[in-house]
Amino acid sequence: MGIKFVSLQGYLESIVNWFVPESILKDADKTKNVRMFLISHLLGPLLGHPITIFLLLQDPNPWPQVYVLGASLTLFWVFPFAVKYFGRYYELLAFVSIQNLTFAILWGAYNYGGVSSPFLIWVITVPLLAFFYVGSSWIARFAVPASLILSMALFYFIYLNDNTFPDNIPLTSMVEAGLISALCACGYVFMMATYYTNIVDSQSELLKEQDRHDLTLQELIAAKDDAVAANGAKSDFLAKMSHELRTPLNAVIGYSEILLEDAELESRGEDIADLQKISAAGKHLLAMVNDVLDISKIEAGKMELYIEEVDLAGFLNDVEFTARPMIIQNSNKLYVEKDDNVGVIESDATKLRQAVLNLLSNAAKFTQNGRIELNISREIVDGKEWVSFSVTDTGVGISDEHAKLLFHNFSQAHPSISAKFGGTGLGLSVSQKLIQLMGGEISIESQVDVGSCFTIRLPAHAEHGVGSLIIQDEMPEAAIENKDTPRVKDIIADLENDADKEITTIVVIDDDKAVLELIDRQLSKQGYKVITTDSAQTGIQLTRSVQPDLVLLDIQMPETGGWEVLRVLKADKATRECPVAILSVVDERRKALELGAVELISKPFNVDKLDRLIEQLNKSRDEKDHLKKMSA
Amino acid sequence: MTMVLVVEDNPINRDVLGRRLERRKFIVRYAEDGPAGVHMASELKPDLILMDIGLGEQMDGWEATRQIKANDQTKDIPIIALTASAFASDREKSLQAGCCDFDTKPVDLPRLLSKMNLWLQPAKIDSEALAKQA
Repeated sequence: MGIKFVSLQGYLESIVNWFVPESILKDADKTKNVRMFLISHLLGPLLGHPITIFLLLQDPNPWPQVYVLGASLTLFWVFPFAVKYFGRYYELLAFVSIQNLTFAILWGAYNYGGVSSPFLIWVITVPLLAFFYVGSSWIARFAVPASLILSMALFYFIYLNDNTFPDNIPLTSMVEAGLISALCACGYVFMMATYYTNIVDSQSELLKEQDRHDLTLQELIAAKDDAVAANGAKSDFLAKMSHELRTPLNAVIGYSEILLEDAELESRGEDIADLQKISAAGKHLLAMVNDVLDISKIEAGKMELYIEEVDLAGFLNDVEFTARPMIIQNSNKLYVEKDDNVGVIESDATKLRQAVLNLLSNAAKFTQNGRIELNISREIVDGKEWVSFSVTDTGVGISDEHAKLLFHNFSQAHPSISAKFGGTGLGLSVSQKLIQLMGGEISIESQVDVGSCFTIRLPAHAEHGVGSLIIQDEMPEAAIENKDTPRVKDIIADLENDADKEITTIVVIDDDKAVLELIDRQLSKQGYKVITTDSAQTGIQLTRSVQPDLVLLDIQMPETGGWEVLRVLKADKATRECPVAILSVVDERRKALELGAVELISKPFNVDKLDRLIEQLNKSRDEKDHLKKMSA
Repeated sequence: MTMVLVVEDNPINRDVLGRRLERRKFIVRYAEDGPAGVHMASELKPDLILMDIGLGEQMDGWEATRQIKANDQTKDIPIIALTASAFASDREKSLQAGCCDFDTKPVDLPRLLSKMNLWLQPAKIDSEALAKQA
């Protein structure tokens, strides 16, 4: 029985849920009200219609009073559909429904018994339902009671007019009608109360559950913060350790090589072998220290990317040249797929080189008298250009099971391998992390005793990484906005459409005339109005009189240092607001910003960086204008 | 004979590098810190300078390089930066400061020698050309 009840309730629940419109689901309180509304409308008529049927049987002339009552009660079944499809008018629907109920009750009471009608007790459900449907709002507090009083007054006036109530059924039937009505009213109120309790219970249960989750979440956050802090401390420690370890290693490697040279000159065979071992061990240790340093830097989020244009043909030549000595150690042959049209990518050449060389050195290490291939390919997927470097060997290969572990720190396919082949077990892990930093991935396909193929796949145009995109780095809000407008070209196009907002006048102050000429040419070509001067004094005066949109200031100037010029510009009311960007060969960005510059652009001068800066300035200026308009 | 100025604050590194260079018939001169390096560069006019970057608090190798490059008398001397950290940022900074090349410590002598040769060659050709003109 209990089970049946539960399943019936579940069934009912799913029907109710079907009617709740999605737009309301977000609001938990309103959802509760709507559910009360729905349950009342779905089941309510079932408890009202027994009365209609009884009256239909008892009343010798049921038309029109019983039919009107029946229609009014049946109308309630339309409301759930109305809520489902016109959910945003829910309050209005609830009010209309209550008016319908008021009408049905008063109509029934008027026609069957008047003031002493057994149906009149239903009136108490009206204000109750109003609170169930719309909560404690002005509708339930004022509109519904007011309309109830009005309706009752209306029927009272009709009565005054006729001076009597209709006498539709005999008094004896009225007793039965009273019983049925009282039972149905009880049933109805019981049903609504039960359902309401259920909802309240489940909500408080939900709240408790939510509290528990919040608590767990807080604990998790605290634990994660601790872990992050601990990991950061670990990384810092490793970075310091690695650095400190290098100095004594310098001595070990350096002196062992001096002694080795001596021994070689004097042909002391035994010493040569021993010293070679010391030197090799020192170098191995150094490689390990370097790898640990790399990993700790990556994990601490301190690994910086330097994205530059990489000419792949030159890159491959360089890699091949560097890799050849280690390839021939095991009598392997290296084949590099060379195609002069392989083109240019934007990437961090040093890190990419490190990763490719690592794959080649692994291939060389685990292949004897074999063939090692380096292939390069480009593809476009979903409009994004990718480049792949794959290193294929005919070496020992690796099982799938071990392949999974390969990219973990200090993991080689088998402990015996490091004994036989050497290596730190960190190389692949470092390479994988470096490539991931550039938005790519290293994957492996391998078969034991047949060979392996490692593939580096990364975006041909890397996103600027940590610290390299200086302008975004220190302007977080602007950077966040940039996410929506990722393409510089789009922004420039926008600016072109909106020509009056564009930065137009730029004053360039640099004592090097060659630099001035170069900047002048580059910027004029892009449509900027450029004024150049090689004198600091002139530069300050120009800035005062011209009020340019941007000043580019070289910091290494002989007479008045650039810093002094910046100080003068920022101290003078007339020039204080003018953005100044510092041109410098030294990375003194912090100092520049502290002294009031908007940015430091490193020399050699790079137009792209300037473009980005101007774009940012335009943006912040637009925002300022916007704010001014808003406050005006 | 080719004269190399080694600017390096660590005595062990200085000794190891210097001795190995001397064996290869370089005349080696030593400076222990940045100011000494700048001074000796203009006094001795070496053919090449090997510049450690982490030279202590007084003046780092980049600053020393900038000063050497700012002096008309020494601005043409090729400077190779040496640093213990192998980060690209150091390389970038070194090149920006005016170094012509960059290598990491511990020194891989064959690699360093090939870099030194590359930068010593034009100087030699120039001096030959000058000698001929004279």
